[in-house]
Amino acid sequence: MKREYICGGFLTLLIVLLVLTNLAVGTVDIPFRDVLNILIGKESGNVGWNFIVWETRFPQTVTALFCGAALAVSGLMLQTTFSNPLAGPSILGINSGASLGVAFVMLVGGGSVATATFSLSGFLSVLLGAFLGATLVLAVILFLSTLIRSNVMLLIAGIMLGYIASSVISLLNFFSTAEGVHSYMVWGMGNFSGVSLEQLPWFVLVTSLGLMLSILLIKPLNAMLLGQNYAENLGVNIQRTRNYLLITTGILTAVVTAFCGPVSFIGLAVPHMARLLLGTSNHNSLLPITLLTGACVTLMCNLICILPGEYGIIPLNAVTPIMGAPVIIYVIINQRRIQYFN
Amino acid sequence: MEKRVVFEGRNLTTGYKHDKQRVEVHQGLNFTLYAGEMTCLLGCNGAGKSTLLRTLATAQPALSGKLNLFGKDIADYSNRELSKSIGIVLTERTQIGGLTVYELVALGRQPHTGYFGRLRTTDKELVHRAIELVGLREKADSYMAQLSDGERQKAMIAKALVQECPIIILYEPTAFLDVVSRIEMMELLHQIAVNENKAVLLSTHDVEQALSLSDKLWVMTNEKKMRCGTVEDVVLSGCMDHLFEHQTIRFDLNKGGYLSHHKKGKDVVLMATDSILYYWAQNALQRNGFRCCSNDGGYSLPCLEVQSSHVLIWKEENKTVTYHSFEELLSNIGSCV
Repeated sequence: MKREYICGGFLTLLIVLLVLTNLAVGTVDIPFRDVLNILIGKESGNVGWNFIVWETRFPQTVTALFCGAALAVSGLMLQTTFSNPLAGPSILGINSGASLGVAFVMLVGGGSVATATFSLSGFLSVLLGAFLGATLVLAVILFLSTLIRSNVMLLIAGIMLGYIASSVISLLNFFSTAEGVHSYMVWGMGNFSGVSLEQLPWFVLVTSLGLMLSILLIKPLNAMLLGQNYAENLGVNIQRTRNYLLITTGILTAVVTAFCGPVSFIGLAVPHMARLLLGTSNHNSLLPITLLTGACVTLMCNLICILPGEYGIIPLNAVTPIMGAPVIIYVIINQRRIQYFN
Repeated sequence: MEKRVVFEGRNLTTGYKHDKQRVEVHQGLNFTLYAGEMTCLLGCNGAGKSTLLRTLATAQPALSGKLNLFGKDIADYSNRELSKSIGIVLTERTQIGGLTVYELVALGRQPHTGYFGRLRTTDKELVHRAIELVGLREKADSYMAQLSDGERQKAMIAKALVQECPIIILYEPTAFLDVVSRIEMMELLHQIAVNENKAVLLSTHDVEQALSLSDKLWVMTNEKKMRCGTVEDVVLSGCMDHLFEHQTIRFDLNKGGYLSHHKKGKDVVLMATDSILYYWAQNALQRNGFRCCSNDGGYSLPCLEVQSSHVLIWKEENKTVTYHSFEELLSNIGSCV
């Protein structure tokens, strides 16, 4: 059987197991049988348990799953677009752009996370802010990519953009209220519990939309592996394709950043994990496998975050670099032996 | 048999536009490209070969003049039509190490496949056939990273073949190859041109292979003109000497290649028992600054008589010495350079 089907089947199985574990494990001990009963609609005797499973664990698990898929896929699209294996939403400053948008809405708009998370208009304004911030940075990066030929230099330019966004955020923080700053700080550490059950359908809808758009881009993405000149010769409209990629990556990064905070390393490292698993850079199989791997990795991260149990939750951004950075270092050390680098 | 005209350029000016500046590389180019022929574009570095090829491949527009593709102005073609008409093969390194040869060649079907790029049975057959044609059948499932430069180039040619374009334009396809692969590559391209009835146009610095294997030459001369025609017509018209502007390096019509001709030098009468010995004896003498002639014309010139590679008889002013190797000969008669 083909390698991608084996990997796909294995990852799907792993996701199911991880989802169940994420639902079963938490601060409060709930017997697994009761968790299942609650999920299939049978009310258990314990109202607290019902609440915990439905209002906390379920949205958190689903959010982790979609967040990982979204970030991993946007990382893959960026790496192909810039033909740079070290591109990713956090490296290129797209995360920071989205954060700036969120900061603007939260701190200047006078709202806090609390108001933002409980009304649909708050949800939409945070989302819009993140999307505008992310696409702004992406547009600047794309513009710079026409001026800067070297990929390494372009990455550095992206890091600089990230710094500029961060310094504007610092300024906004300086002029903001203590409460606003606090809620922004908490948001900035990243977590998967920011999406409530009421918002969950919206979150899932928007990420699914982005993921579907990315699947429509598989054909031009494959052409772009050959470089711009060859892709143009194959009938790919580079300008238009780049715009589609910009919008799709913008949507995916923005929706995740708006609700989970600026999550680092997933977008950068997961496409490499998927390539190492498959051995190919053909997006027909690479993109679905990246999506599944991303979901697995974030579900694992979420499990690690809730490990301390009653002592609280570990910030997400303390966990993702531990998962991601070793992968990148491995890839860099072995790049001569890894075929997709050559 | 009348050959089909593919490209026709009339009074074409190629060049770049930078903001408001207009940089013209060539003015008033006239040429015709035919199907079923391999055409080599020759020119020194910076002569504007790439500019012309890029103009033909529509990667940049012509500044003025007419450029017709199958009798229709090239500007009237859509991107999709063009991607089915002109296939290109570049020298640039791409990040395709992670694709297998089959996957890479299949990308050439993109202009013909639907939204998701799914390959039908006929597409798959075409891909297999192209891989076989360029001689990579055994490597079809190898990753591009495992291939040599020559094999990578062949895979790219197969990619251009499955595009089913009547025209294939190649930018210096032999640039990074050793001499055997260069000949192999040129023979492959010629075979593709003739058997598949394609118009194959390539730029190259490999004059020797171009002269022996291509049908037509486009020579960019140092007067910013381009001479087009069948190889022999172009060579015998003497325009090969205008390819490069150089005092002492001239085109040698006997050998079909460029040689250094020194103005100064001592004349030597050279005699040899066969043409091979004559050729290599002349090679040795010319390198050391001698000029060879067949008789002394009344001047008592030194004379070298080569009977075999071990018997070299040198006569100079009544003195006759027999040498047993070229090394011995050259170290005794000295150099005139």
